[in-house]
Amino acid sequence: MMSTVLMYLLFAVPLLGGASSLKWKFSSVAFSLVNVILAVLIFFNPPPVGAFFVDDVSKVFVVMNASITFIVMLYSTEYIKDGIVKEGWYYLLFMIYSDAIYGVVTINNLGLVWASLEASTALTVILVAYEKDNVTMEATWRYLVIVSMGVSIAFVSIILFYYDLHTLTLTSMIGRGEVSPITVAASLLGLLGFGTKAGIFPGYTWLPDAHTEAPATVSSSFSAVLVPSAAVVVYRIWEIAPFMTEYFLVLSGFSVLTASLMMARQKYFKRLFAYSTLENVNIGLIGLIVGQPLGALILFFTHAFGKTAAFLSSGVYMERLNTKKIEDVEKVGLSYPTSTSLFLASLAVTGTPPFGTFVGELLIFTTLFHVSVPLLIVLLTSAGIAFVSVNYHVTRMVKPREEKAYSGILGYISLASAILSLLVGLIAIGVVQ
Amino acid sequence: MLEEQILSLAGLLVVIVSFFLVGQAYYKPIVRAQGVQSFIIGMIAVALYVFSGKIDYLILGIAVISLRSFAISFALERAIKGRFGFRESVKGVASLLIIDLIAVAFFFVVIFYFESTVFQEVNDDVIFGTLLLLQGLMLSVLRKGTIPQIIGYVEEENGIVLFGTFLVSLPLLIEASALLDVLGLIVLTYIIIREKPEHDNKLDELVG
Repeated sequence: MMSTVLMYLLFAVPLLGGASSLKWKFSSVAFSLVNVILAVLIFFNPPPVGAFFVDDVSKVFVVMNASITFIVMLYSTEYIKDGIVKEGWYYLLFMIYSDAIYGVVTINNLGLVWASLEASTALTVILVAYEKDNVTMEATWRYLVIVSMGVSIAFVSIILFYYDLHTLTLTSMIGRGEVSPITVAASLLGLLGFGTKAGIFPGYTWLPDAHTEAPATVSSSFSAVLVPSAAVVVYRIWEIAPFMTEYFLVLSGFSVLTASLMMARQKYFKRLFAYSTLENVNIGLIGLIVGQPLGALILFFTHAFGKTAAFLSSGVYMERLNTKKIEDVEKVGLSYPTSTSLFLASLAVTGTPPFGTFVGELLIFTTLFHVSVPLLIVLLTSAGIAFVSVNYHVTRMVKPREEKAYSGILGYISLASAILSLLVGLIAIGVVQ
Repeated sequence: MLEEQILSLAGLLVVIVSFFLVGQAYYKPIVRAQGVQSFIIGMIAVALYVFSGKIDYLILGIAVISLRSFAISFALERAIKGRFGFRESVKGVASLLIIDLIAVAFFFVVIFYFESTVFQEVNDDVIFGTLLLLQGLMLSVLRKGTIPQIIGYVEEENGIVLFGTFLVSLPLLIEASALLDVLGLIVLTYIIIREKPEHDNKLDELVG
């Protein structure tokens, strides 16, 4: 009973925070901090299966969403100015969007999960378009059209699932083990449709564009929370149709490979990190599918903080140096703490020991060895390419020919997020040992 | 028997309107044709209510007519007013229509085979929904303009409604969520169209 009340509070608090931040922006920080506490309580005391389905995966994602939203709200109070809408509306939309993400990972009904995911698109369109220039509007348009059409395909899969199984309750759909042509078609459409939002080939083309042009705060939440949460929905589809494993693994593996190949030739640092998100999220999804949930969750969780640090540091670079190009930052860069934060974030998102991403990837690759050696080879090669590409570009940025001093709060918030990623990694090593 | 013929005729009309959408370069007729298409789909749902007595169909029909046929058409007409020329600045719309006709003929054969093997006991009219869904995707892919692309999205959603209506009635809450989401996205499209009339695909920052 108590845990169910906590769940309803988890949804109510962001709404209140968002509404009150129309008047006072710092209330979004206070309310998102309350949600971190609620999320931790839910982690240790999840609600029974009913309207909500909070398993181990959902528990971690609830804490992840709450923590990243808090960090991003704190950063936003200093970073965000009036854009396509007034500043207060930014906080309101962001807080409702965080609610939609809670819905995606906890609601026990595939139809409502779809509605939450679609709502998250509608709520974030304005956030992506926030800076309002021509390139931003083009990227927003691509995001809106590609994701909406992809998620519409996912709705067809929901109709087919309902037609075949006569229910949309996740806990009733999972574990039936029924193989029918309709379930095969539904799961394939679900993989393609939900995969569009989860960064799975071929629908992931919106992701680099939206990440490059959205404000740094929105990019970090997309990479840390939105895309991984959509991957959880893909995982739920796989749980309903586990006999389709090969299709899920092949598409995710291909996404990792193509994303890592794209990283080498990037000229814009936010775009580089966006491709890194595709790589990490798909490896995490593969981990869930091959039966290594611990590795996958460690990877998702530490990647969330690492990628938040990467995008928030990028935000400082963009604000201070007025550029998104790697070669410009190579000429004139920034001092500690932003450069340190960016460097640590780069190590975190490329699976360098002792960051948690390393532990997560190691566990996943070890399990994958017993499932598919060819896929393991593809992932190891891709991870290697991604490691070299990201660290090469970031090293160019943190060792500039000329350095500008900046010691504002934004750099320290980014650094704190990177250090959190490191700490979680150290704890993960302890847990695994 | 008469009921089935009415539904099949309405389904066919919807698909014919979708061909008009692909072959039309002028914006205003596209927006209005989308309104007509949504109206027919709403009326199909109302007809199903009359034939079956299920109140869900009536609510769905009213929602589709009011939101898609009227509200979306109104919002899009407002958005293009004074911002665009009268037509899309793209050549070869007629040849796109021929490509579309060939593609639809191919889809028809594939879908018909799929439906006859998988959905043996299902109303044949489901094929109209599937064709409309694919037509929506084709419209968005073939055309470059903002308005045709968003109409393609609405058409895809219309196809899903038609598909779902003929195949299986979803819980009303899910249907309502889908309708509201589409409306939300159209409102956002309105904002984007006001800020940025057409697309420039040669933007260095969005390459690679």
